[in-house]
Order: sequence, then structure tokens, then C-alpha cells
Amino acid sequence: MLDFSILTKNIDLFLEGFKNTVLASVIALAASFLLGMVIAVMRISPIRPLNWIGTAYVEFIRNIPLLIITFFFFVGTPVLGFTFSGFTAGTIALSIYTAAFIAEAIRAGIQAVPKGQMEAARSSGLTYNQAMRLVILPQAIKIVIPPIGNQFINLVKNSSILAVVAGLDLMYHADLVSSKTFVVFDVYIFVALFYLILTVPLSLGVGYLEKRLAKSN
Amino acid sequence: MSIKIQNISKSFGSFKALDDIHIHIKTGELVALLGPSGSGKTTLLRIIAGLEAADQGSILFGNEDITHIRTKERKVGFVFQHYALFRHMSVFDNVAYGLKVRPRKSRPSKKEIEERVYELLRLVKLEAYANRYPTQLSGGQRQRVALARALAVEPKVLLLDEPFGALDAKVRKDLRRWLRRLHDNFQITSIFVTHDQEEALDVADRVVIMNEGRIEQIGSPEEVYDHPNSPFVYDFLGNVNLFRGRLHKGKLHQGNFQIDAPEFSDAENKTAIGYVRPHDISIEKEENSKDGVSAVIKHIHVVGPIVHLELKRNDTEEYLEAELTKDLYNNLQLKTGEKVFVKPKQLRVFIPEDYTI
Ligand SMILES: Nc1ncnc2c1ncn2[C@@H]1O[C@H](COP(=O)(O)OP(=O)(O)OP(=O)(O)O)[C@@H](O)[C@H]1O
Ligand SMILES: [Mg+2]
Repeated sequence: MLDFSILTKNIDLFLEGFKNTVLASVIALAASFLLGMVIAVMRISPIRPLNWIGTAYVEFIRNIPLLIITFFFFVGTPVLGFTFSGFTAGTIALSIYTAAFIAEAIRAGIQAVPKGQMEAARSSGLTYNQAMRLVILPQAIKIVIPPIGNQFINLVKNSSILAVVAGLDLMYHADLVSSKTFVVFDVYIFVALFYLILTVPLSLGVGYLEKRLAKSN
Repeated sequence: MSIKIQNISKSFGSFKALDDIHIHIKTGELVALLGPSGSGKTTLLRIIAGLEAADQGSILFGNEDITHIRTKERKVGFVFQHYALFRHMSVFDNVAYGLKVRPRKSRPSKKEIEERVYELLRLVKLEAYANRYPTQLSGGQRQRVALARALAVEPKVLLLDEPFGALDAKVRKDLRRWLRRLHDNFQITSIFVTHDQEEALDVADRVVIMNEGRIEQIGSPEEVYDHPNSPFVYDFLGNVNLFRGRLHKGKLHQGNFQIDAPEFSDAENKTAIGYVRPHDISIEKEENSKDGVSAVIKHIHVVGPIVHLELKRNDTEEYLEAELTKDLYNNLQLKTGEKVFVKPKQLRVFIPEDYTI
């Protein structure tokens, strides 16, 4: 049986960790979405240099471990004169890392909108920007919501990377509790439950949206 | 608005999709671009619309060179092969959109837009469908929305890429006649792509026949059908019988029969092919002259007032097709398996070295 006294006695530590995990996730979620959108538009842009930057970003970031990016902002940037707390370093790394995947999802969504839509828009007198904003993106968003939802769920789970750089998140506090109480198994079960509190509603929400969108077609 | 297409060429990599195209289209003309798949019809239309850039050559609308002007400024209406309606917008919005997004100073008022859209929807007989979404429409209805959308921006030039391609024969026929009336009422210049020769010959003022990126022939439907200038056009526009033989001093010899080909009076012993349309073949029961070819009737199909005969020549064993009226057929009392004599009433001779097919 689980020893619930560990949870109740250390609830402050758990809640402090939970709060920071939520905070890091929400910040990274917004930042990675915005950054991902910009990168995606760059990747499909007809302007060559933008295109190259976008592609380089995705291919570079997507293909290295999140841990290395996190270390870069924790122990690498101080060499260059920028020092971040563990929490900040972890959140930046999380945003940059997730943005690459979100960019790919958005790009795939935009490209899944038939090419004829852009051409029809342009021959109806819309500019490239108008066509993108009013015709392509509204259609792409439907295609993109399920994969982006999955990326957000990954993001919440990946936020445990903060623990490695003393980022004060849930996982970090779990480590504290377990070294203090010498209980390992129960502590991590409780931690898993805290993560589920975040990810299950997210997952259900994505599923619900997906159904709604399928119906409106 | 007249359209001048001047020595337009376009390559995709090393593949030449268009090769030195010249066409002059007069204001108010309805021109059909006709050709087999891959002959460059869509590419040419896209270049006229500005959706694709030509490698060389120029395009003039009236006296204005628009070669380097963007799609948006060309004011062409484009109807796409696969409609390309905006799927997330109602029928009304699809038609209204081009007007709604105009910069404020050239944008009609909300009320004017609404009136204009309903006028167009009335024209395409879809007023009752204004609030539906494209997925809730049949193919023919979508096609008409696409047409209304193309007309909404008041184009001077209307470009249609196989507008009726995905529709069944009856609907196609209705829509193309209707398109002809619409074209006449709007007083626009239209170019429409098709690979249905009947469609082209039925509604166009002039037909441009394309093959492998080049123009084979331009002319009125009668001209191109009755006087094809190449074996390709002969073959492409309707069925044709080939009489292969030797051309010598104005006569085409084949086996033991010969036919006059006066335009080749100075030819000496050349290999040549005579092209004969099925309705230019006459059928006789008796051997009245020496230049009849003996053949056996293999099949008889009666389609309305026309009778199609499939024949097999006794000398070369080649198959021939002939068409005759029901009256003539009844008079002759033809039967399957019967031996008859076949004679080309009119034929056109081409010497293969001039053309490769
Ligand atoms: N973007 C492109 N890239 C490479 N090749 C292309 C491109 N667009 C067209 N082509 C090639 O150019 C040729 C002409 O194509 P086009 O679409 O103009 O033919 P079409 O006459 O419209 O044929 P269809 O009747 O099948 O629509 C084809 O061989 C096609 O493969
Ligand atoms: Mg085509």
C-alpha cells in the first residue's frame, strides 16, 4: 500500500514543485507555440534565406537531446556572460526544443491545405499575406490541433528536465522528498499522479476539440 | 480585352512544357485550348493568369504588357480544374471574398457587395444555397460557385481550366451551353481548357490544338475539323481511317486500288498515308469502279440516326470504320458478314517524313 503520510507531511514541497511545473509548462507552451508558428511560416516562405533559417532551426534542434540544450543554457551561456537560474534555463530550453516540433506540425498542416487554395485566393485578388491569414491558416489550424496537442502533452512531461538543473519543479522536489525520507517508490508514484493531473485533462481536451472540428467539416 | 500571347516558352528542368507559343485572341472571343494530357494547356493558362512565370515571351492584355504584373493586379477570373473553393467559407463568402478584402478606397459597401453576390448567385442559379458550405454541394453546383467567384471581381478575362471535367455528360452539355450565353452576356474574353474535342467544337469561336507544348493548329471549329493541317490533328479530332500506300504522280496507290491526290502531282514513289473520316467512306454492294476496296462487315452499331460500321479489308486485313445515315443503311440493307466495296469520298494525304506521329 502507498504511504499517504509521505504525501501529507511533505505537501508543501509537492505543491511548490507542482506550481513551478505548471508555471514552466504554461510559459514554455506559449513561447514554443509563437516561436513554432514563426519558424513554420519561415520554412514555407518563398524567400530563400528565411527558408534556410527555418529549416536549419528545425533540423538542428529536433536532432539533439533536450538535456544538452538545457545544459547549454545552464552551464554554457554563463561562459558567454549570460547566467540563468535553473528554472529559467530549463524553461528556455523547453520552449526552444518544443518549438521545433510545433513548427513541423504547423508546416505539415499548412502544406496539407491544397495548393489550389492559395492560387484561388491570389486570383480572387488577395495578397500573399491576406491569403495566408484568411484562407490558409484557418484551414490549417484544424489539421494541426491534434499533433500540437500531443506536443503540449510531451512538453508537460519533458518539463521534468528542470530537475537536472535544480529548476525547482515537481521532479526536483520529489528528489528532495525521497532523499529526506529514504522512500523512493511511493514518492515517485505521487509525482506521477501530479503529472497526470496536468496531462489527462490536456489529453481529453485535445480529443474533444478534435471531435468538434471533425464535426464542423 | 484582347489577349496577345507572344513567343511564350516554359521549361520545367530540362522538360520543355511550352515551346514558342503565339496566339492572338480578340476581345469577346471564346477560345478553347484543346490537346492531349500533358500538352501544356494548364501551364499556358497559369502563365496567362500569372500563377506561373514564363521563361521567355510576353503577354499583352489590350495594349498593356502584363508579363511582369502580379496575379492580383491582372484582374482575371480563374476557374480551377478542381474548383478550389474555400472550404471553410459559405457559398456566399466564397463569392464575396475577393470584394471584401479590397483596400478600403476601392471596396464596395457592404450592401453593394451583398447585392452583387446575390446577382451572381442568381445567375448561376444558386441563390438558395448561399449559406451552404462547399462540401454540402454537388459537383455541378460547386463548379457554378467557382464560376460565380471568378466573375465576382469583374474580370475582363475569364480563364477556365477544364471547368466541366469532373461532371457527367448531360450536365457538361448543359453547363457549356450556359457558359457560352454567360460569356456573351458579360462581354468578356474567355479561354477554356478541355481535352474533350466535342466540347471545344461545340461552344468555342476558335480552337487552339496543342501537342507536346506546341500549337498544332488554330482555327474555327469547322476549319480544324474539316481541314486538319497535320496527321496529329486528324487523329485527335474524331476517328480516322488510314490508307497507307505509295504516292506517285498525283495518285495514292495501295495494293490494287488507287485514289487521286492531285495536290501531290509531282510526287515520285513516296510512302504516304491517306486520312479518311468514317463519314467520308462510301459503301457499295457492287464493284462499280476499280478503286473500291473489298471488305467484310464485322459489326453494325446503330446509334440514333447514325449507323457505325466496323469493316475488315479483304486485302490487308486492316479494320476500317464507316458512318452512314440510317436512311442509306436501310436502303442498302446491309448485314453483318456481308461483303461490300468501300471507297474514300474524300481523303487527305500526308507524307510521313514531314510529320512524325
Ligand atoms: N510544376 C511543374 N513541375 C514540373 N513539371 C510540370 C509542372 N507543371 C507541369 N509540368 C509538366 O508540364 C507538362 C504540361 O503540363 P500541363 O499541366 O500544362 O498539361 P495539360 O495539358 O494541362 O494536361 P492535362 O490535360 O492532363 O491537365 C506535363 O508533362 C507536366 O508533367
Ligand atoms: Mg491540365
